[in-house]
Formats: sequence, C-alpha cells, structure tokens
Amino acid sequence: MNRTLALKRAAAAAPLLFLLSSAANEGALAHGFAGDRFFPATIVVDDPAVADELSLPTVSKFKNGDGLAETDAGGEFSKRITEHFGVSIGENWTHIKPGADGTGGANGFGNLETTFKYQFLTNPEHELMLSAGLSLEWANTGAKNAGSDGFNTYTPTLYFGKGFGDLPAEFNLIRPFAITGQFGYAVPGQDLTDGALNARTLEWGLTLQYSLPYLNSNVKAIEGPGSEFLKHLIPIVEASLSTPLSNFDGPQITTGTINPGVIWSGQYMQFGVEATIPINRESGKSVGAIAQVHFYLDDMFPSFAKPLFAGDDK
Amino acid sequence: MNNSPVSRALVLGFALCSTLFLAESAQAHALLQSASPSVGGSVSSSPSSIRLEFSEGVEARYSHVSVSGPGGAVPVSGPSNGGSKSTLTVKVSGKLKPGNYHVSWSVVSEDTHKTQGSFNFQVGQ
Repeated sequence: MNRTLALKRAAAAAPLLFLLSSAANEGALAHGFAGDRFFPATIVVDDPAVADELSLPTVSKFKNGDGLAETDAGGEFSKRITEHFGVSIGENWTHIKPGADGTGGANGFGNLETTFKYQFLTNPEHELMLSAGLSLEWANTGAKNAGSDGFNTYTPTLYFGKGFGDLPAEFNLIRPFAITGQFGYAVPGQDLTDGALNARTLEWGLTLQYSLPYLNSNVKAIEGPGSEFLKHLIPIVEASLSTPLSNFDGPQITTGTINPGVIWSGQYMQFGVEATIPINRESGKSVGAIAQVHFYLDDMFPSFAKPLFAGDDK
Repeated sequence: MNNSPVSRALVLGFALCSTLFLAESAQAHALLQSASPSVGGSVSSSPSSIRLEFSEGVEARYSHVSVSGPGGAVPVSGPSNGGSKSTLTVKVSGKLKPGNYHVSWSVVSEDTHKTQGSFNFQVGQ
C-alpha cells in the first residue's frame, strides 16, 4: 500500500476512530430485536438493525462473470452512536486467479465503505423493523487493479425486517418465518470513466429465514437428540441483486446470486455458511460458497459496546 | 494467502477480540431455552408453578411473567430466581381449569439487556 493510499484510507476511517475513542455512556439495549423476534446478521443482505457488531471474516469463493476463480475476504465493524443510529465501516480484499492465458488476474483491497444507518421504526407487536441509511464508497481507497473505482459512490438505502410471529395460532409452524430486505439506489460520483458510462443501479436484496430459536421459545419446544444444536439454527435463503437503472449501455441485466444456507446463532457470536448460486451467466459461472463469523459486541463487551450517547432517540 | 495482509489482519482481529472477551465478564441477551410446562406442550393436571429456563442470568425484580387462560388473567406470584440466576419461577394461585394458556414474559439479563417472549401450553387436554 503506498503512502497516498494509506492516508486516504486513514482519512476515510477517521470519523469512526474518533467516535470509538470517545467515552461510552449508559443505555445499551438489544441488538436486532423487535418484540419476540431476533433478526440475525445476514451475510450478503444487510439486516435492518443498528448494533455494535463485527463481521470478521466474511470469505467467499466462486467463479466470477469472466469465468475466473475469485476469492474475497472482508470484514465490517459497526458502532452505535445513539440507540438507533450507527455507523459501520467495511473493507474487502479480492484475489482473482489469472486465466489459462495468464490474463485477468487481480489482487488487492477494494474501496473502503462507510454506512450510516438510522433505525426509525421498531414495532414489537408486529415484529417489524425499518431503517434508512446512506452508504459511501470512498474513491481511490482501494487498489485499482482489484477493480476499485476512482470516484465516490453514494447509496441511500431502505432496510426492513418483518417476523411472522403475529400470525394467529392456527399458523403456528409459519410463525418462525421472517423476511428482511434492502433497497438501495447507487449513484456514482461521476457519470463517465475513460469514456465508459458509470451506471446508476438498484442494489437490492431479500432474505427468507426460519428461526428455530423462535420455534423453540415461542411455538414448540425442540427436544430430543441434537436439540441443543438445533435450537440455534436459522435456515435461510438470501438473494443479493443489482439492476442498472440509468446511465448504462447495452441491455438491462440484473446480476446477483441466490444463497441458500444456514446461520448458527449463539450467545456471543454467530456462524453462517451459504452456497452462492449465480442467477445468470453474467453473475458467475458456477456455484460458489460464502461463510462468515459474526460477533455480537454488545454481548461480548457490554460496558464498552453500547451507544456513545444515551437516551431514546425514536 | 498465508503471507497476505488479510491473513495478518484476521489473526490480529481474532487475537484482539479474544483478549477483550476474556478480559471482560461477558453477558448476553437472555433467551428462553426451556420451560415447564413446555413451550407448546400439554400437562395432564394443573401445574403449581411455571418455570422458565434462560440462556443467561436474569434479574427477577426487573422481570415480569403473566399468564392468561380461558377465564382471563391467571393470578401468579412475582417471579423469583430460586436456585439459579438463569431460572425464573412463578407460583400459580389456585388450580387451572382444562384449556389453553398463554404465558408472556419479559426479562432483564444481568448486563441489563432486555428480551421478551410468549408461548402457549395446554392443561388437561
């Protein structure tokens, strides 16, 4: 990493580091809870909750749209400023193995990404959570040969989560289901790069999850062999998609993956693993895999990982 | 990837988290692990108490348990921890008639995290 790049990355991370260095106040409450429902951190679709948390690492391996083997490793740290407002910073490292002809390889960090999120609605009765956020991808903070853009990208995003626990008792076995999602509009800071259009895109994703912890504590006790393990499992399907909306050449093609998998949620951390199935040829050439370790910092370090400023800001 | 900056960052991150985790007496959100009568289960006769087993220690004085059934609200005692901080027990006043009952609980874990939940059980059916 050269000196200029290092300075840019430090500048991008400075606001978060300043906040982290401030003294924490009282007022730590729940992460990801809306009434009886706990929304886990999902791997490729950002969950609606504002929380003190750390995803490290998130590792994926797949064949990309050019048919080259790609390995990504990244992490994201999130910190609550108030009970319902938080900021996160994420980074990703990419390695693309060159093709048989020796071309197409890449190696390096992507641009730093910072997300500000405000959880503006939590309805316990209906297990509903809504948040709004703004993600910023900082120009020139990553390696150019790894595909990092030389311009900022701004993505205002809406997040939602809805549990089905408010259904009547006749639908007991459906009540552990929940859906979450995000819809963001990514706007590049410049329209053209070397004569090529920088598309404005809809960055969207959905998850469908079935919470065995919810089943066990709210609907029907899980008993028998393996029950202690099963009580922590959340089978899930995630879809992470990108659709160009304007300022692009050629056909409008949505790219992305459908990811079936499972999350194991413990008291202090969770593990997730999913297959990544490309939805079309432009999205990838084969089924890949992604895995993540995620830490609940507010549970691990309750005296530290809590909002910097106390009070209910709803 | 053994010599990559990512590998070193991951090792450093894990080491930092492990150190901090061990240095602090960690607590977590209290989640219901089991109950008696069991969640969604049935009992042949009226239980004299309802016991909730949580994943973490809970503060009985800041916690609440209510029960309702065919006749409306069921009188229960205030929750107590009994022999274990992770257990809450309420005594049922009187005998429950056969029917469906609904238990609602809200607890504060020892590190002040709040959680809640509810479940049904049946008596005599």
